Amino acid sequence: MKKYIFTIAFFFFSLSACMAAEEAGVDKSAFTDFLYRLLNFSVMMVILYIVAKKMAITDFFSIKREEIKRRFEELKKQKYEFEKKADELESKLKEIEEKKKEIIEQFRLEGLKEKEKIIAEAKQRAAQIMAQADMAIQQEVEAAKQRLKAEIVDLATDKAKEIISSSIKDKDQDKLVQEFIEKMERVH
Amino acid sequence: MRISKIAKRYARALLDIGKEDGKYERYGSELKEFAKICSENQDFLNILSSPIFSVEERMKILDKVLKKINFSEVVNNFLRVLLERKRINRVFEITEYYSMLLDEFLGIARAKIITARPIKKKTLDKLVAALEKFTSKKVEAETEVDESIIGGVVVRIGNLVLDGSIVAQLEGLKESLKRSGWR
Repeated sequence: MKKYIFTIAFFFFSLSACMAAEEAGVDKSAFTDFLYRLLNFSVMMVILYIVAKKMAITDFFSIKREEIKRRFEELKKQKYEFEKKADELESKLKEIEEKKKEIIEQFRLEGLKEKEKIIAEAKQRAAQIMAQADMAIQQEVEAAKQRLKAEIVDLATDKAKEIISSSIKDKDQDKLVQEFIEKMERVH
Repeated sequence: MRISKIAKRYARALLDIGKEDGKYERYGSELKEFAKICSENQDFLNILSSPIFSVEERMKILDKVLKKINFSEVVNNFLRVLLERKRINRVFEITEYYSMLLDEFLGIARAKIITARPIKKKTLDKLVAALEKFTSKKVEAETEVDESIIGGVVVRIGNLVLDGSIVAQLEGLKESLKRSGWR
């Protein structure tokens, strides 16, 4: 209402200004033109005001601002949450990293243990193989000794047969038979 | 020689008859003679045991031979029974077993004495006397020379072997050396 009054006032002020100017001897047509222009401008302002009022532009901008504000708040909240999430993930990552280190260490220790075990087993197996080899060698040596011994005994016996065959006399034969008889009598 | 149960049965039967009439030694010698004839004339034994000829034909052949040999009637009949029962081819087994049974009955031990050189009579007598004492039987010795025994003596009485040869002693020594911890 104030605005309307202000506009009308402004209009009458302009009209009185024109009349004053006319009285003062200013060019009448230029003044009228100015007056019309002023009138035109005032009408246009009034129309603009009314249209603006009707279209609730202020509300539109106010809502938009609120929305932007809300959006801003949401985004801020989201940012906060994402940051929180990022922190959590970072701490989780650190935990995983630690866990990874622990696992690697555990595997390393187990690997060492396994290595020691394998080495111990290999040493034991090597000792067994050595013992078996020793035994096999001993057996082979013993067998070779026995074969050699048998061969020597065979040769000695053959030689003894040969010598006895060539040197035995009738007297020896009689003595052998006599010994046989005596042995038989002793058994009986 | 492996002696069958059948041959043993026939030999025992003949000895029983011999024991009854006291002619067991004669029957033994006649059986031995017949076995000798058969071994010297293998064809004769082949014909007697051949199924190609009938029993009558084979019997006629046997009778002809027996007539010429003049065996005792018991042995003749015994041989005829063997022919009839198709056991004539077992005459060698029967003879051997009869001989064994007769030796056992008479207490005779048959010894085979093997030496590397011919044994002297005096030494043989001594050995036989010792064997008789050892076996508690009358020993009938058969000698054989085998140079491979080198020296000493080997006596075989049935399944019993008494080995006093040089070869046996050396073999014994050899085995003992091989077994012992000789180094």
